[in-house]
Amino acid sequence: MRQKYMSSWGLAFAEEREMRKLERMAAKGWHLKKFAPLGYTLVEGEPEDVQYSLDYRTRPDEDYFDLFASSGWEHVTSTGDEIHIFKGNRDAKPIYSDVETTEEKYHDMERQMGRAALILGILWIALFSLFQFDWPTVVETILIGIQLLVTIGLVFTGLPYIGYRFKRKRISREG
Amino acid sequence: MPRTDSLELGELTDSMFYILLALTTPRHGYLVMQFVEETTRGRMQIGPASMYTIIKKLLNAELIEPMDGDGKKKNYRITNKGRSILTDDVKRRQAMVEDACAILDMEGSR
Repeated sequence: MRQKYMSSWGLAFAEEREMRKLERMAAKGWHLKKFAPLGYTLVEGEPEDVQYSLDYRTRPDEDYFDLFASSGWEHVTSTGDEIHIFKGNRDAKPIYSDVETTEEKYHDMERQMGRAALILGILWIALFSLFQFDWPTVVETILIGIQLLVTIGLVFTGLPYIGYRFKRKRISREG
Repeated sequence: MPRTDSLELGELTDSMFYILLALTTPRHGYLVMQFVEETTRGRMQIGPASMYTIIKKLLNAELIEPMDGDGKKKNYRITNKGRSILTDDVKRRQAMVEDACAILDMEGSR
């Protein structure tokens, strides 16, 4: 079976856009199989008119997947026992049906990312202040390396935090 | 959980209201969803993600409890605390409707 990689711009920013893109791909016969690093793996098959929905849920039990299945949403794949994608027919009802719970969908992710970004941010400042001192070249190189890693970590938690927060605010504003 | 949690204010969201109503009889999640759709004649439909979120919330707040089930599907029912909060919320909503009816001069105001 032929496979294809589809890149992701980050679920915090492009969830809806990417779900719609997965639907267009399915209509062309390319179906979501699983998450891949910074994207998705698709496999070739028959064209299908379907809709995809994504949910965040840490370690859900069997009842969770049962509820989706009996509402016409087939579980496709998950990552980290935390992010789950479901596939439904065109007439399957939305997986979130009210503002309150839709807002909560993003609230936990916002909090997790915010907490991680805060810790990394403090670490970043602490490391930065170490550069005020004179260090032997070896130590300085190591410090620069660590600083670089922390910076990357900060970007990959700080940006999603802003994205989830923005999204949650928009949902509570627009209803 | 969200800071303006309506449950903490003693108010139920519309979805919670109907889910608690459904659980005055022990039911499992999907039957609750069907009950709500039928009772409201399709006016309200609860999605599976919303349903799961609310069940967890109501369990945490001890407004519903799981029952020792026979099969693999978990059944839930309303607790005394849940029933008293539901009753209060019915009164609150009734008062709202009466206020509106009186002002709008509609049938139903007494």
